[in-house]
Amino acid sequence: MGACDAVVRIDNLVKRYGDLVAVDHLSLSIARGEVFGLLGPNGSGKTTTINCILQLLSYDHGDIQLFGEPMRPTSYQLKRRIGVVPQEVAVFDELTVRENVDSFCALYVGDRALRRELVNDAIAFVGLEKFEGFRPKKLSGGLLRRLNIACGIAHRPELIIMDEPTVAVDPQSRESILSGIERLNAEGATVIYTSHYMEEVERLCSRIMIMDHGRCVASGTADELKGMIGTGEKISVEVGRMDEGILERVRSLDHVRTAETDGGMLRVQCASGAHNLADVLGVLGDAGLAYGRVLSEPPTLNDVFLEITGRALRDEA
Amino acid sequence: MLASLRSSVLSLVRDKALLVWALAFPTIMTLIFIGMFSGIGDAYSAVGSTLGVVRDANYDAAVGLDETIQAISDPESSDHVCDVTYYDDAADARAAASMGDVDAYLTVSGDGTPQLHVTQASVAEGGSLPTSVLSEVLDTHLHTRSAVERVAATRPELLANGRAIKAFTSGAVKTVRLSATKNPPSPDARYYYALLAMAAGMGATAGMESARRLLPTAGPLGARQTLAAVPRWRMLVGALLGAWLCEFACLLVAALFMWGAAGVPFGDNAPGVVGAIAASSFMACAAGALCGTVPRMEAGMISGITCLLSLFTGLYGTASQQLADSIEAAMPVLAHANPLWQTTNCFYALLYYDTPDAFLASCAALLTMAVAFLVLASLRMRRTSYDHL
Repeated sequence: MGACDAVVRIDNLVKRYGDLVAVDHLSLSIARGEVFGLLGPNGSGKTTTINCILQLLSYDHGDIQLFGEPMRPTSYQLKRRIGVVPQEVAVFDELTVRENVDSFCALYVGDRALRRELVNDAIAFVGLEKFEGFRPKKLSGGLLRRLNIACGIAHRPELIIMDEPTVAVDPQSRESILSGIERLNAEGATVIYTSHYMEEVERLCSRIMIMDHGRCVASGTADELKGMIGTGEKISVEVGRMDEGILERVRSLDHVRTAETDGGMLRVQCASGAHNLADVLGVLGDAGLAYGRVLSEPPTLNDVFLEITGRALRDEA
Repeated sequence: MLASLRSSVLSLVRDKALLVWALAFPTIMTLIFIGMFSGIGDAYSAVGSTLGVVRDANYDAAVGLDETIQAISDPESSDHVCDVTYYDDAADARAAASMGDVDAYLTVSGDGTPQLHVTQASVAEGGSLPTSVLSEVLDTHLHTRSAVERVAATRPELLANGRAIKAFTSGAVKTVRLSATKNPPSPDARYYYALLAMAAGMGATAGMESARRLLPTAGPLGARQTLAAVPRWRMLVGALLGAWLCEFACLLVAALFMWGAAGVPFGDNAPGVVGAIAASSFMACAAGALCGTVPRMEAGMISGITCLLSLFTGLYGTASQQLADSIEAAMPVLAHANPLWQTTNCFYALLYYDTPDAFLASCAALLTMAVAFLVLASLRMRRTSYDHL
């Protein structure tokens, strides 16, 4: 990817809080039109990285360029091309939906006629037309999230940074938000998306970076990430009763990590391998065991995330 | 900047806090004050304006005394000082005074010397000023009488035709009403001025909220606005301008209500009053902006500080006023450093002082404080912009 194609380019970014290194020599590049997923456990440095990109935080070392230009706190022309949807709903409680969207749009667009059009579009985009005159306190959680998004995208930014925009919303609102992000991307916006919902990231993001301890620990497409880990598919077979000897023979297969029975179901967790399902069914067939339904689940992004970042609880002192 | 101003105005108008403190509070307190101060005008009326006179033989024998008393009790005369009731003897006059029918009574001793008897009640009610006037009148009468007696002893022929006597007594009683202030004193005006100052102080919460909304450290709304494509100083100016306009409008309406409903005198300099309100609300917004940059500073703390500073403006009664006056006399710098005192003094100076010097000095003090608060707020906002998230 050439430098001129990169909407975001970070080189060797280091941010320290005293002795704590929040971002540790991070480099990344995001191309125009990408939906870039930024994943990581709590405290991994995602938000710090985003705040550095937005110049909300100064940093100790490194270089940040947006649209090929150095990003500074006073780069107002660059800021005009950026939209941010923060994790927490950040709107004026005393203003109506329309006034809120207009207020934030006015921070980027001075022309009133143009702004009116943009505000109308943004409200329609998130489906809040019926709630234009409502104040935020009258809106449900899902509607608030949609308002939060409208405030961030009304000025039609080329780069949209979304920090967990679907936290605490119902499935319908989430679906609406996700399809909205897909539409924004289809219209040409580049999106940086952070979330703890792996299925969202897998659905939306063309490229994903997993951060931990301030570093990039894995990066690539969802399939590439799945290919990086040793975890293979999860196999479930309806077997009824099963001898311990047959179970031991399944466990002894090369790529089988764990195998156990649970309520008439044999559940096998495999390492990555080309013939895992055939091998397991071969053992059952050789033992003359009749089996019913068979389910094979490929590894998910969640498996990738847990394998890379570990299963130990975070957010602990 | 206009967007910040607009959102600031809309937010503050819809947020009840500013309207409550800068408009409803002084309006309600004005209604309470109207009730409290309804009798204060009577209380401040001239005690000693009813004089009892014992009209006995001694009184009749005192040359020129009756003419003097009639001169100062003539309701049609510009020299009118008191109303007179005559009694036959001192016992009746004393009884009338003890009943409160008269505030003082006059007797004449055997040697013709008039004596003014002032009741304890009238002294307790602060009636020393009118009785002082009466004493002065009687002293003048005695001096005149003494002069006449000296002339009679040395040049009796001068008194033969009565013209000399008339010459002596014609100017003996001459009272002139002088006003030491531009407008008549209003005993309750000081309370209303202090109330307006307190409302202005409470309105600092508007400046605090407006500034805090722009701080990235104060919450996601501040962080989001920090990402705007306009310089932060312009947003701050817009937001504070909105807060100032709102507070100014609220205080102006409150002052108009005081003037219209309670008859509070503001003098005849209407632009000056508007200027005083503008300066005090500007100072309050700037102070609020500074408070807004202080982490964990709550609106309640501004209320507490304002209540404390109001103690030194005389809002809480006579004792509070005496305390304020004492501090001003003993430590003027301390008194002048109180922005609420300066606000009160703006209105006070407009009402009472002949020259605008005191008013302008207080306005200048308020504006200086406002600039200092804004500079400090800007420095603090700059410091808390980025690395204190």
